[in-house]
Amino acid sequence: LEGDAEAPIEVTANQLDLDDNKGTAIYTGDVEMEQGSMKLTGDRVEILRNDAGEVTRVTATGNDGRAYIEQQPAEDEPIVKGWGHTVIYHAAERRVELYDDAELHQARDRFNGAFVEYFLDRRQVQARSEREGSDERERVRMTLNPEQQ
Amino acid sequence: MTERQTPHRLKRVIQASTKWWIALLIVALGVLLAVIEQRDDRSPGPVPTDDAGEPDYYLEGVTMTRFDAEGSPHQRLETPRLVHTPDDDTTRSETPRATFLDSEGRTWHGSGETGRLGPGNELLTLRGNARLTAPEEGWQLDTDTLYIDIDDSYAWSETSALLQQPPQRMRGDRFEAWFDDNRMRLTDDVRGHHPRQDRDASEREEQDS
Repeated sequence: LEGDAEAPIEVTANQLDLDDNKGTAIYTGDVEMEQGSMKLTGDRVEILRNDAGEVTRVTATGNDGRAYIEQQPAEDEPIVKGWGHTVIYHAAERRVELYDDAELHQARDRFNGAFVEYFLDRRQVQARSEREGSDERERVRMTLNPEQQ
Repeated sequence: MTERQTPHRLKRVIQASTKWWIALLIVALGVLLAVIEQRDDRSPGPVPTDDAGEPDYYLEGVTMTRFDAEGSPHQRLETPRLVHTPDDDTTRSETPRATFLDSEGRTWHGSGETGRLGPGNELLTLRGNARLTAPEEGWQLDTDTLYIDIDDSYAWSETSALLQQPPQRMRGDRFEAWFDDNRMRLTDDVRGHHPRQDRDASEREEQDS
C-alpha cells in the first residue's frame, strides 16, 4: 500500500539478540513483523541495519514450517502471499526473495519453484527452478488464471 | 575642678573607654567565630544501621577508582555517600554513577537511585530507575534493577527493560549484556520498533561522513 515503505517496522517475538559489531538484530520465537500492510512471520527473523541504523535487509526462516510474507499492493487489489523456508526482504529495493519450496499467490495466479522473486511496488514476479549457487532443481510451476469475464 | 585636673581626668576617661571597646571587640570576634564554626559544622549524618549491621566506615563525596592488571583505571564509582558493612562485606551507595571500560576500550555507564557493591567487589546492583548507557554506540537501557558482574563484564536485569538506540527501541521482560562482545539480549514479550530513518537525516549523515 501507499506509505508501506515509509512505515516503521514493528516486531514481536520471544527473544531479541543484538550484536553491535555485526549490526544485526535477530528476533527468535513466534516472530511477527509488520511494516504498513506487509506482514512477515517466521521462527527466526534477522534484521540487518546500515551505519545510519536504518533497516536494509530482513531475513526470515522457518524451523519446521516455512516463513510467510504477505502484502496488499493497493486498496482494491487482493493480498499477495508468499512462502519459503527462507524469505528475504530487501527494504531499499522493495524486493522479496522466496527460497526453498518457494510459493507465491498473486491474485488468482500461483507460482512455485526453488526460487521466486517478487517486486512489491512493480508487482512483478520471477520464478526460477534453481537457486544461485545450488544444484538442486525444483520445477517451476505457474498457474495463471484468466480474469473472470 | 581646676583647669590642670580636667585634661588629666579626660585622659583617664578615654583610656578606660578604649579598654572597654577592645574588650567588646574581642567578645564580638569570639561570637562571630562561634557562629562560623556552627555553620561550618559538617558533622556526619546519622550512622546508618540496617539488617546488615553496623558499618565500619562510611565516606561522603566519593570517587572510587579500580585499576586493571596493567595499572590503568578501568572502573570508577562516584557517589555522594557510601557505607561499608563488614558483616556482609558490602558497600552501599546513594545515587551511584559507575563507569566501566570493556576489553575493547568502550565506555559503559551505569546509574541508579541506590547501589550495592558486594559481597567483595564483584557484583554491583543498581536499584531504582537503573540505567546503562554505551555512549559511543548510542545505546541506553532503562529498567528497575540492574545487576553488573564487573569482572565478567556481564550485566542482566530481571525487570521490564527498555532498550533504545534512537530511532529504534525495543523492550522485553528480561535483559542481558556482554560488554566485551558488544552483545545484548532481550527475552520474553519482546517488541521492536525500527522506524525508517528520516531520509534527509541519513542523506545529511552520508554527506558529513
